[in-house]
Amino acid sequence: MNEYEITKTISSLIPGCVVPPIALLDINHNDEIMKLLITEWSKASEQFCHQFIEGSVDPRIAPKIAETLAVLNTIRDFDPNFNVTSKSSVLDLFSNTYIPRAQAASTTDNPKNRTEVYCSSLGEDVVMRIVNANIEDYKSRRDCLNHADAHGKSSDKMCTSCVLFYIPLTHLCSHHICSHLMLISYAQSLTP
Amino acid sequence: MSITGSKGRDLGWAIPFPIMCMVTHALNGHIESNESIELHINTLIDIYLSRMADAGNTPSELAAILRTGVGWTGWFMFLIFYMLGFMTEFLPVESEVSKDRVIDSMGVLGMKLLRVAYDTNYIPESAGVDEIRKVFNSLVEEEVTRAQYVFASGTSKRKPRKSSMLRSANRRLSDTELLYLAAESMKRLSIAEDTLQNTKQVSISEDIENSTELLQ
Repeated sequence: MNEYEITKTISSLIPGCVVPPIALLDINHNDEIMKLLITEWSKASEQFCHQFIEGSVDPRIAPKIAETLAVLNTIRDFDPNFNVTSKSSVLDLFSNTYIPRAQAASTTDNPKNRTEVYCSSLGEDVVMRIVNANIEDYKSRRDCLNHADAHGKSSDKMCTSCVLFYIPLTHLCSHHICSHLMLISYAQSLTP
Repeated sequence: MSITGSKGRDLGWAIPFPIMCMVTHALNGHIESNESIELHINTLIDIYLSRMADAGNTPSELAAILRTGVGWTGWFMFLIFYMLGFMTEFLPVESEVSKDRVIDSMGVLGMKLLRVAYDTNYIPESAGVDEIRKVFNSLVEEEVTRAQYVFASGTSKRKPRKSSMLRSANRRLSDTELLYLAAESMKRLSIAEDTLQNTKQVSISEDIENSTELLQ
């Protein structure tokens, strides 16, 4: 099973919520190995995040998102190693940012904001126990397939439905974290 | 990109941005804007847990799923919003001071939600769905109320609600264009020296301006 297949499966299980894929192609350009995923045109008009920013959310969308995520998370027949190689890039982010900054926030004698006041009041032991348990969750648990990008900016909305962009390579998130992680990992994580 | 992981994690990721907008609206004195967002969050949790129950998860498993979801909501707030400042560029804030306040709020709330998931001294392991939900709701409400008080105690007047700046541009912002700009930015990003200063170096706002030019 690969991303193309899982996208196709989910789009058939929840029609209208996931853009059906058409093809997944290998591209070699300037010594870079890439993949091009071609999908049907999304009828969704804009990113869902606008509705939160404007404080006016269409109540018909939440059930669609919840259904879609639940369908994905309850698929029983999946490879526990699915895309597991992509985890290393996130673990790098943990080692280089999450851990040291959480540690710094919990040990500072001169807290600069409410977050540092709270973290330092908990103390390093508590904060790092929490952070390490969270990281262990990410590293070890393989209960189900995760969409792993189901935030407001990776989904588009229509009047009556929501399209979750379940697409690995078209970089539909408008922020750096997703692009960053995908840039690092996409070449190694998929099979055509 | 999908990966294998824990049940509830996807639910957890779907909630942070709406909550960050709730805090922002409260800080702007637009508390009525939060009604539909709150409904969205509650519906999301209700239906997701209901479908997980239909799939055969026991009450204790559902509690574990919710606990995990709350933890990943906290992770997103603490790492992505507070530490990295990502996704905060389009918030309808009135000033940089307000933006910093929202980001700090995400840091505090993020750590509290992480505690709900991973600190059994905070919430006992035996806690059920209702108990976890109650704690989650009260922690979110606490931050929203605090933001409301900040607005009420300040001198700023209530201004008309801001429209999404992306929508105001009257075009769909394709993230695909941003990819290429993000790739260039990432070349400058040193993870090893990942400080707030570095995060600012890859300010997405510059990229948005550039991508707008590309789209024209």
